[in-house]
Amino acid sequence: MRQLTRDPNSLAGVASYIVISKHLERTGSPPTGLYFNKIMSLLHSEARTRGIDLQLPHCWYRWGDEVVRYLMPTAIDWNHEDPNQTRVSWKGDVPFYQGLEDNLGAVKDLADELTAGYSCPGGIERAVAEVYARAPFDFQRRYKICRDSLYGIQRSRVEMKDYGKAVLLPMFDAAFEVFPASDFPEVPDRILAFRELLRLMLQRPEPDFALVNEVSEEFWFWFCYRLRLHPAAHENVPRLTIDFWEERLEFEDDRYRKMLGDHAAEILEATDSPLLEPLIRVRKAEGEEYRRVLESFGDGFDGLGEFVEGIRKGYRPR
Amino acid sequence: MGSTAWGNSWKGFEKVTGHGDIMAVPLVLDTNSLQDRDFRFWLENYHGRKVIPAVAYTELCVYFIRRKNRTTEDVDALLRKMGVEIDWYRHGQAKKAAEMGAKGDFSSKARDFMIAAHAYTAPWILVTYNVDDFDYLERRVMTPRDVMRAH
Repeated sequence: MRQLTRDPNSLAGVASYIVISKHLERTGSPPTGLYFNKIMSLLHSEARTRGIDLQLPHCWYRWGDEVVRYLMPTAIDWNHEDPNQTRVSWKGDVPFYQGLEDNLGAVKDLADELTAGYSCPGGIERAVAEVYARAPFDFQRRYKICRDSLYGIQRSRVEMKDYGKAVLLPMFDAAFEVFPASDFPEVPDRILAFRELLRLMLQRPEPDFALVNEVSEEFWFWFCYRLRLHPAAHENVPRLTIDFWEERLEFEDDRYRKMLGDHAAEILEATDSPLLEPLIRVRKAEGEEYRRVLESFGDGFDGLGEFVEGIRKGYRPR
Repeated sequence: MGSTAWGNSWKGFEKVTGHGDIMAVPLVLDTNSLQDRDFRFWLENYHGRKVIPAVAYTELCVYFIRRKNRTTEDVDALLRKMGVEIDWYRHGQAKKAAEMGAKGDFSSKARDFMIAAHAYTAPWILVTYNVDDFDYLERRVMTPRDVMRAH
């Protein structure tokens, strides 16, 4: 399966090539990752309604539905980790179409239609909206509104009184009202702590929206490690990849707990909160433990730079 | 993109990555970056992803086993406390190392290319004291001191 999906001559590979080259043809530049992901998502859905299965490996993640990069043909090059920063290009031979003729015409027509429809100004916003309309959970759509609003308020030049308390907080509350708790039974405790921190931050007379945004993005990125694992949130992803995603959870849960605790420690009011105080306390203890462990290594690191220089020099022919 | 959240997402390092704002930039740690005491302390509270390439991890273990009579378990425990992940050398890294190596002096710098491959894709930053050896990463190679200053 893994080999097949990475094959540039698979239908998903050929479809990717067509989308990239059509965008290049229309605009003179390779598509962004955001554009590529959304068009591939729409192409996959539309093709299915016509009885064609692209077998696209994709999942719902931080920026919506996206292809699983390391299951895509290696001829596809991404120059940035972020789907909205990267440009996607095809670095390899033109795919070999033999055996795909039955579906190729329909896929080409669809790709033509989609790239024509979404390559114009405002096209990507429409594509994002259309893709999000198909998100498996309403929570994703509602949380996107919160993210968009937070992004907007940071760039707004107009001062809006009580925006945090009167607008953003109810918006986050509305999102969490539809949180699919039964689908994600492991996360409620963290959500309670996160919402408490948000509440404290947004109820301040002058909220630090940049910090709120950081806290919100950290939550969202963490949640997406679980989201992509939900059976409704991925397709054509082999078991091996799912296992790899699952293995990340423990590390990422711990990382997120630390981030949340560190942010809570920066908010004076959090020390009185039964939901946040334990996180702060644990972080403090962890900091002390970390210092103790480092000290236990004593001057053990002192010769490290010299050692590395030595072995790398020794490794080189003189 | 208008006023949507679908814009920049990396905090700090604007001069390096050309953008910034929300999330902490992920760091690739070269072995020698850990010689800096302040950097070691700083790492624990850094919220971005921190990885050590498998090749650098091997060097670190050899150093502690050979010079300090420590075990790989000690090194693992330390990295865990730091929140540093070991980044395995996979197909993607091998491919990037080959692309960089083919343009450079692979016979004498193979290990450097293998380490640099982990930071090949933006916004990853390679943290090392041998900045000159990785100049092909341009602005995405920094010393521990510069990283702490930039953040």
